[in-house]
Amino acid sequence: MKIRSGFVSNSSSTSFLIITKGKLKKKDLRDLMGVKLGSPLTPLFDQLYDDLLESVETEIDLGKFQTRSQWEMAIGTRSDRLSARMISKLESNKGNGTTAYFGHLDSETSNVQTFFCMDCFEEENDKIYLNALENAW
Amino acid sequence: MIVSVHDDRRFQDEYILPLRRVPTEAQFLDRAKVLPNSYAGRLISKLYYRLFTISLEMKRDYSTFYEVEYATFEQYLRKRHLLNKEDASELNARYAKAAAIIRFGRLYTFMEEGAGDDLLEKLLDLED
Repeated sequence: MKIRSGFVSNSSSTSFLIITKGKLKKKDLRDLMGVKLGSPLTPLFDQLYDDLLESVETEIDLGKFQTRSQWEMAIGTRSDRLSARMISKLESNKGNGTTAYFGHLDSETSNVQTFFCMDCFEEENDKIYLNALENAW
Repeated sequence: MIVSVHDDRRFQDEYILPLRRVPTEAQFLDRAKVLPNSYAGRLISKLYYRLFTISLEMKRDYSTFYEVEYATFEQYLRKRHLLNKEDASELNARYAKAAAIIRFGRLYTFMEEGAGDDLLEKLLDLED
């Protein structure tokens, strides 16, 4: 018999959507999350940055779409991963020079991903929109 | 100084920290270098709540409820909290000087496996 000491649960994953102008940088994510220079939380959010980039499954240039059918092909068919809120945000950013990234974090990967998979959050500033509200156990 | 103890009844590791001073929430946020109305600010506020609101302050617990039962703080640690002799002795040596001695359970997964020790040392004024 094995006794697991501590928290026991099934695994969790969180689908995320990032919309950003230009390339997403570590400092941009820190600014979005409210982490100032020299904060002891810097390693946590830098790890989140690395995990998010490694977990990106789809990257879409939101300025590229000319027709409704192109949009439907790229976005409309992804309702398995994209919530109504995410699709609405993508719609409102269409054609404004932003890039969208979506993927999912996995609680089985690291203690940092486990933490963020147990949280639901949505943050936005003038550079980045991050939606991590879609959390499934 | 950070003392780690295993709670057999709850199957979890718990921590005891003797503190030189207890910060206000504003001071704690300031030390964490996070913006108050942000994701990181809310995270640090929740951590403050766990450390200073729902934790057990052992100095106060001893002087309020157990001093009549245990003649010394060390006995309280040994018999009430089942600490080993070495940990009880080391914490007892810090009893008079410490502003508070807090005991708390699991915090966040990202603070596990030693990662939280470094963070707590940066956020708090721990007794050596």
